[in-house]
Amino acid sequence: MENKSEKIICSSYKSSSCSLKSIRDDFKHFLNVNDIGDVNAGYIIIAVNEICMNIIQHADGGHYHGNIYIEAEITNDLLTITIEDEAGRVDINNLKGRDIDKLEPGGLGLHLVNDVMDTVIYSDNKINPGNSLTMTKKIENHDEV
Amino acid sequence: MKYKLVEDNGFSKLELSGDIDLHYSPDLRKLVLSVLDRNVGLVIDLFDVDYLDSSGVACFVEAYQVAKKKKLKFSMTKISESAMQVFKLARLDQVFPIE
Repeated sequence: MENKSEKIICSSYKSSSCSLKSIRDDFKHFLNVNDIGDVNAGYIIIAVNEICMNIIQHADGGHYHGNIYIEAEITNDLLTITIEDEAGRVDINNLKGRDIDKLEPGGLGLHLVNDVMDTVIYSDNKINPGNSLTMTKKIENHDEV
Repeated sequence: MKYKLVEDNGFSKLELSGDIDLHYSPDLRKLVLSVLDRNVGLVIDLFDVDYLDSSGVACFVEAYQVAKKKKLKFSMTKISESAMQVFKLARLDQVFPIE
């Protein structure tokens, strides 16, 4: 891949389940124009959707109606995605997915995200309100995870 | 998400299509549990599912557990590529009965 990127700047979405389809479609477009193959794109979209879904479901106890901000870029085959909200600060120690080997209905989202992405970092933003998550993935072969 | 529910020889076949995400999964949960409430087995066809997220998977896990408890038939069939991506990540491709 050449060193090119179409950066998504200031893409914001209302924190609502109605927004998830638009988020996925916009992200799919971003990955397509950056020559990310369908298989890789599918996995990355899963991760983005799960993080946004967590904000919609759990931010401010499920009552967050503000915006979700998404920024992404690919530089030197490294995809970096930042997702932010303006909800009350989340205790990152409480962000644990369930044991994947236990068959339970919930708690799967974070496991999927950690499986798909290389790094997932919750930033300790002490200046601005809200929560910030940055995740990265090295795009080595465009159609393999 | 769209669905078609067909009664077939003692069990219900649920054909799902489109995107199954948080916007639709509450309706999906009610639907699958209502079928099992009638003590009828359930086969879920995912051939035309374009996207499946963990909230949709959670519906299937809960339905599978209810069916197992009631000793009712429960299986998945014709799983689309995108849905299978999620099942594999969740390691559910080896848990759910797949026809």
